[in-house]
Parts: sequence; C-alpha cells; structure tokens
Amino acid sequence: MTPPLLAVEELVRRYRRPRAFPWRRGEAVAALSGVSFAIARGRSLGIVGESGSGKSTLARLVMGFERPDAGRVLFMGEDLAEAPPARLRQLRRGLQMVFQDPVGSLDPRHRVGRIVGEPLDMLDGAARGDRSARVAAALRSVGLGASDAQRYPHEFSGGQRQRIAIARALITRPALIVADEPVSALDVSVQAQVLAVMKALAAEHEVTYLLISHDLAVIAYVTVDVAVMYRGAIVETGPTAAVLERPLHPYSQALKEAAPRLVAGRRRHRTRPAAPPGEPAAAGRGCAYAERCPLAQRRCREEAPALREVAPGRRAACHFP
Amino acid sequence: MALLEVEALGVVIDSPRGPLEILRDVGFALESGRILGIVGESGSGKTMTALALMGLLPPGARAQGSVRLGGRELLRLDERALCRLRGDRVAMIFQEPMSALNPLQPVGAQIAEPLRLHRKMPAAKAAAEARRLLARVHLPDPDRLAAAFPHQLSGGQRQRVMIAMALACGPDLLVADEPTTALDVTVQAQILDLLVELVEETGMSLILVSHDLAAVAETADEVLVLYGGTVVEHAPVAAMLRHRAHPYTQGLFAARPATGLFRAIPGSVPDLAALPPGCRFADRCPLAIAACGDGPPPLGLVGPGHRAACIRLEAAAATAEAS
Amino acid sequence: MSAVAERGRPARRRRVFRHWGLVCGAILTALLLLIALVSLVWTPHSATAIDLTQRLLPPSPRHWLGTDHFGRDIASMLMVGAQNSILVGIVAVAIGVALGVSLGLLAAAQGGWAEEAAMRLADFTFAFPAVLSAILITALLGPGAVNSIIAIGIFNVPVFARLTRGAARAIWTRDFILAARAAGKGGLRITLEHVLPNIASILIVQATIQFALAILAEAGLSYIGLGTQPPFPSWGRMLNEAQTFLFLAPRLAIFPGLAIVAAVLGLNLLGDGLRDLLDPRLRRF
Repeated sequence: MTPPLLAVEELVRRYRRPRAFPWRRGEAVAALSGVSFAIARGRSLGIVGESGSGKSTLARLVMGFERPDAGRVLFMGEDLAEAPPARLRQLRRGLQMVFQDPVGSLDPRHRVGRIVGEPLDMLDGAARGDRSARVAAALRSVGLGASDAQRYPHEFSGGQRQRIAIARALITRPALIVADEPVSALDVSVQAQVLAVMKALAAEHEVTYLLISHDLAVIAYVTVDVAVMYRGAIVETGPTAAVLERPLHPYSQALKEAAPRLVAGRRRHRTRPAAPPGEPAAAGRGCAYAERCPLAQRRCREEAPALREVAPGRRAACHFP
Repeated sequence: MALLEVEALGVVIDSPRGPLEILRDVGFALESGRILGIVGESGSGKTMTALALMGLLPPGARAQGSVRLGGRELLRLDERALCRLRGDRVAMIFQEPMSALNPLQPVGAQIAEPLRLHRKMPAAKAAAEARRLLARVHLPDPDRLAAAFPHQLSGGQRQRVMIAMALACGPDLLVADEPTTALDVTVQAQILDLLVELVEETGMSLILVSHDLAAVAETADEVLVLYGGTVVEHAPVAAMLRHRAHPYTQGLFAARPATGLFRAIPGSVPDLAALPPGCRFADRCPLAIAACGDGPPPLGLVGPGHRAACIRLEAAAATAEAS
Repeated sequence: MSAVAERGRPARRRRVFRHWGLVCGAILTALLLLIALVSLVWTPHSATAIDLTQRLLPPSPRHWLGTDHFGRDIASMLMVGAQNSILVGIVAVAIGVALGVSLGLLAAAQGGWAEEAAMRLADFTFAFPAVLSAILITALLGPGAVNSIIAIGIFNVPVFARLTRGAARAIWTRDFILAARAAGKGGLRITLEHVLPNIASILIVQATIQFALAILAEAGLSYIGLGTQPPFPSWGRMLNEAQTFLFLAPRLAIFPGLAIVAAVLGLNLLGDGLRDLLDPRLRRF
C-alpha cells in the first residue's frame, strides 16, 4: 500500500519563554502537543486555527525548518529528520512552501527569474539545461509573462508577488505545497485571483496542498478535508464541506458563528455567546478549551478528551460533541 | 442638522513623486446614534478619511472641503482647539492596540488620562472612573486589571482598553479604524458586539472603517464604499444587501459572498501618483466605456438614501440582474 | 463652504533640497581623492626637499600656500599628506570590514555559542578606549604608517561586527530566507547570496563614516609622533611642527587643520547623505 503523501505522527514542539531572571528557566509553552494527521495524494488538507493554535509551528515542522521535540514527519513514507543530505535534497523537490507575506518572501535584491528558479538550481541539477524555459513556463502558469523574469519584486503588486511565490513553489513539480496563510495579506478583490491560480494548478500539475488559514471561506474553496486546531492540538477533523456546515466541536462551532455574515440589522441576528465560565482546566489535564466552552462540565476540566470518531469520517476531541 | 457633515473633503499629500490626491470629493452626513461603515481596500483612502475627521493627517497633507461636527467647522480650527475636542467630543480607536497604548504605563492610568485632561478630575476620582469603564467594556476583575501593563493583556483585552479610553469623556462620535483586523475572528465578533452595545447605550455615533464588507454590513446602519480615494457608493445596509449599484461594489460582493464562491476583480488598486482624470475604477471595470475617462463620475441617486458614482448605472443594474 | 487648511504638524522647512549634505560631502570627498591621485604624479614642488633659504614664506604665486620652517612647500606637503591619510584610512577600514563583517555574518548565521563568543570578543575590544589603545599599540610595535594602520584597523573590527550581526539577524527572520532553505540552500550560500546583498548599503554607509574617523585617528597618532614618520608628510605631524610657530606663522597650522576638517567633514556628510538616500529606498523593497 502506498504511504500517504504526508503523515505527521504525535508532533510535539515546545518553546521556552524568555526568562525574566537569569536563575529561572523560561516557562515552557507547548506550541504543539501531540498532533497527528495524514494527507493522501490529491486530497488537499486545510488547517484552521487562530493565533496560538500552533499552525505556523506545524508548517515549519512539516517543512523541516525545525526539529520536533517528539514525533515524526513522514513525507512519502520517509522521515525528513533522518534523511541523509542527498536524499533530503531529492525529497525537497517534492515539498515546497508558499508564505504569508508577499513582500518578505521574495528577496528584494534578486530578479524574479532568479527567485523563481532558485529551487531548481539547488535541488534539480539535471534540469539546469532548460532552466529559463522552466522559469518561463512557471511564470506563465500563474498568469504572468516570461519577460517578468527580468524585473524586481518591488515592481509588482501584492497579488502578483504572491503568484511569483507560487511559481517558485511549483518549479520543481512538487507533490505537496504547504501554503501558510497565502492570501491573508492581500486585498479582498485580489485574494480570489491568487486562490483561483492555486486551484487551477492543483488540477493541472497534480499538486496537493496543506493550506493553513484562519479564514473559513479560503479553506472551503481550496481544500477537501480540514483539521481545526486550538492551542496546539487538533480538535476536529473531517471533510471540509461537512465540518463547515455542521461543526461538531464547540470551538469549531464558535469559529463558524463568529465569522462575519452579510446580514443587516446591527448584529441583532447574532446570538451573544454565553459569558465563558473563565475557570481554566487543571494545568495540563483537562480540555484546553474548557475555560471558554459554554458546554464545559466538571469532566472537561479533569480529563482531556481524545480525538475520536464521533460520526462516519468525522473526528472530534470533545466529551460532548 | 446631522451630528457630522462632511462635504467635498479632499486631501492632497506631498510625496517625492509629487502631490498625491489621496481623497477626492468625499461627502456624507451622520446623525446622532447612527453607525456608518466605511469600506475599502488598500489605497481607498478610508484611513485618511478617519484621520481627516480627527485632524490627525500626517505632516505635509493638506485637507480641503468642509467637516462640521455639531455645526462647528473642524478644518478651520487650530491645533489647540482640536486638542480640546479630541478625546472629549470625538474619539478614535486604532487597528494595532499594542502600538496605540503606551507600553510603560498601566492601563488604568491611560484610561484616566482623558478624564484628567478634559474634565480636570482629581487623580483618585479619575482612577475610580477608569475602573468603572473597564467593567463597562466587560473586562473581568477591573481592580486588578487597572494596574496591568499593555503587554500583559491579550489583543482583545487591549482593544477593550482602547475603547474604554475612547469612551471616558462620553464622546459624541467614535471613529474606529480597523479595530478588529489584527484580532482573531472570535474576538472580533465580541468587540463588534461591544461597540454596538455602547452605541445603543450612550447614543453616540460610530464610524467603523474596515476592509471587511461583511463585518461592516452586520454592524453598521449605512455603508460608504471608497475606491482610489473617491466615494463609489453610499447606501443603507439593507438596501446594499438587496442591490449593488456600482460595478466595484458588485465586484467586491462577488469576491467574498457568503456561499464561498470567489470571483476576482482583475488588475489592482490605482497608483496614486498616476491617477486618471475620470473614474478611478475604469481600468478594472467590466463596463467601462471611453466616456468614463472624461471626468469624475457624478453621484447619482439609485434609491432612497442610496447613491452611486457611475455613468453606467443602468448597465450595472442589468448585469446584476443577470448574474 | 470651503476651507483650505494645512493639517498635521506645520512643515517648518518648505521644499529644502533634501540631499545638499550628500552633494557637499561627495564633492569634498571627490576633491580629496583627486588631490591624492594627482599628487602621485605631480606636485607643485617637492614635498620633502628642504631649503632653508625659503623658510616661512607667505603664500605667493610660486608657493601657493607658502612654505614651512624647513622651506618645504606647504601645498605639496598637503597633497602628499592626503595620500597618506587616504591610504591609512582605506586599509584600516578594509581590515575592519573584512574581519568585522565576517565575524558578524558568522554570528548571525550560527547563533548560539558562536554568536555569543563573537559578540563578547567584540565587546572586549570595545572596552578599550580606541585612541589610547592605538597609542599603546604603536608605542609597543614601533611608530610608523603600517603599525598605525594595524592599530586603527583593530578598533574597526568590533564596530562592523556589531553592526553586521544586528542587520543580518533582522534579514534572517525574513521569509525569503526560509524559502531559500526550502530550496535546500545552506547557511553559507544564504549568507553570501541573500544576507550580504541586503545589508550592503548599511555597511557602505558605516564604512564611509569609519573612514572619516580613521583619518582623524591617523592625524592624532601622527601629531604625537607615533604615526607616519618623516620624511613622508602627514597632516597630523604638520600640526605638531606648527606649534612652535603658531604666533609667527599661524598658516602652518591652519592649512593642515583645514585639510583634516575638510576631509573628515566631507566623509561624514557623504556617509550621512548616503544613509538618508538609501534608507527609505530600503523600505520600499
């Protein structure tokens, strides 16, 4: 049986807060506490979370920029952390990334052609011969022109820069692209341009995405499955359409409820959420969401719920989904 | 007479590339107790409008036209008179609460500041009032929180502190410039709920500036859509949800409808150094004709209280029907 | 009802040419370099020939700035002295750049122990007062141009190390570095291809300013006799020798003094002007 494109097993990553005094160790913050999921080829996965959910840390671990404190990242069945440098170079051809900031993700001192061709230069020596052809093709596939390769990033708008970043991610013909908030920094009228390009490329080039976003509409447009993260753990998974239509976990429900809707009436149509009980779970034991959850009971504060199947194809980490 | 009357407001700023007309001919009126949403993308001039109302334009910016608060012309006032108004009759909250709050002062002291400045309250009384305001914006444990520093609070809490500061002297008008953009969506909903609640309790008016059309539609009574520094459409929210008159507004709605189908507007926002003499949306507009470049399109009436600046309103209505 | 109002802080300076400092600095620096270059092939008179019959002459068409107490032509001495100042300045700054920038780049790329060690090394050097230590070093090694270059150069290293490390660290946090890592680039290539080009302008500005300080330092060392040795002319030594004749012929001190001022001022203006010119552009990127 072919291994999934990407499999993440029990990833843990902790950071230490900078310490106030030299004799005290910084407080440990668990950015990720035991995250696991798998992505099959062709089934793009969305990760939804707000700040503090650990989604950016997850992106860095999946790409191999940092080592997890525990757990493994398996790309096409191989552990990135264990791969020897030559094999890692081959693997990286199949795994590329698009970043959030269209300005910061392109080196302002390099021309676009050099930027887009960078992964090719580093990872695919064999393709050097038709480098400029491949760069031109990549630029065309994101709706830009081959002549744009001569220009500098600052000559382009935010949406165009993000498309350049996508062209760069595509050039080694990766199987998986990790996209971390790819459109959050763009104007609304431009977001759709970039998302349309991403969706078209998924079909044409057989690219699967790991798409990270706080925006449910973006996730809905691009992905097939979704995982909702809260405070370093996955709280719900399932097919995107199903989860967004009928979220099972109280946090997913809160996310859906909070999303702005085009309804007039000075917010009278909104249900004011019950004031959260405010009592945090016993440190490290109960459900992380308990202090904000309107359904929280005593059991929630004492026992952390496991991510389990509560409906066909739907998993949620809640005692009372 | 409405509380706030803005007429033919224009702002020109000097830049190394020459004078940039960042606002042209912006006009609207706001009654007491009403909420106006100003929607636009980057370069639309929405933040500049907010700053112009407060007299807080950056150095080198020149404002013209008329801004009248309670009948009083603000653009003609000198800095001293404006200082007396700011924080007292008209207040503002900003997008980044961390940079808008003084990191070296406890929040209670910062909330008390307008009271001490404008109402000449003695310290103890101002501190007590500050704690009351903290409770009013639903912050738990006001007594303890008043002594906290901004970096010890979460983003949502800091934004509530800023709102408390703005409310301190009971302003007639609150200008909120992207107050929720930097916050998580769950916190965003709470902050917007709070703002509406305060408007209904105090009767003050609120101007909510945002790029998020849906958030504005849910919260405001009227919407003003800006593009490239000009007003393209102005309507009560209910009317705008039923029917968009201007091609740009139609494009904006199509880009983020509630059902999740994205349709982009090709091109990008205009370069302020190279503005066309006519309609500033013409180069991206699917309905543009040669005449669109001749001069600024006049604001035409489309319905009660509903205006749009376009010379092709019938064609726009037809395409809206078709889609 | 229309009211035109000047809003915001009233602009006190209206349309002053923004880059006058840069232009003046560039002109002065260019003049300095030109004079030094020309003096390699031609000076009005020999800068070293002693002619006691021509002592202490006032400026004349023959001796443009007069002669000193040994009959040497002051103008020629200034021109050749310019060579000396520039040489010392350039080499000392080059030492500082080569070692300091490397140290700073290494510190930023490695982080951890390497960074701490490099910075503490820089701090250690900073702890010594620069000019006094330069005096100490030249006194130990012996006076002369080469040793003053070494002494001044040593104290340029921590300046560039600190600056480079700070600027480089900021670049390392940018996403395009992560993109390069995603493409499989290692630390050295990233440092050379991405980090260095992006901090180059900051380094150029600092190098210009350090150049000015080096000229000043060399003049100081020569003044107390530890710098360039006779017969090669040096502005600082000219100042020293002028002391005895200060009331008799103040021009012996004024001209070299002015030369030092002009060179240092020109370079400082150039450096500041470059910083203003390059900085906002950096932001545009």
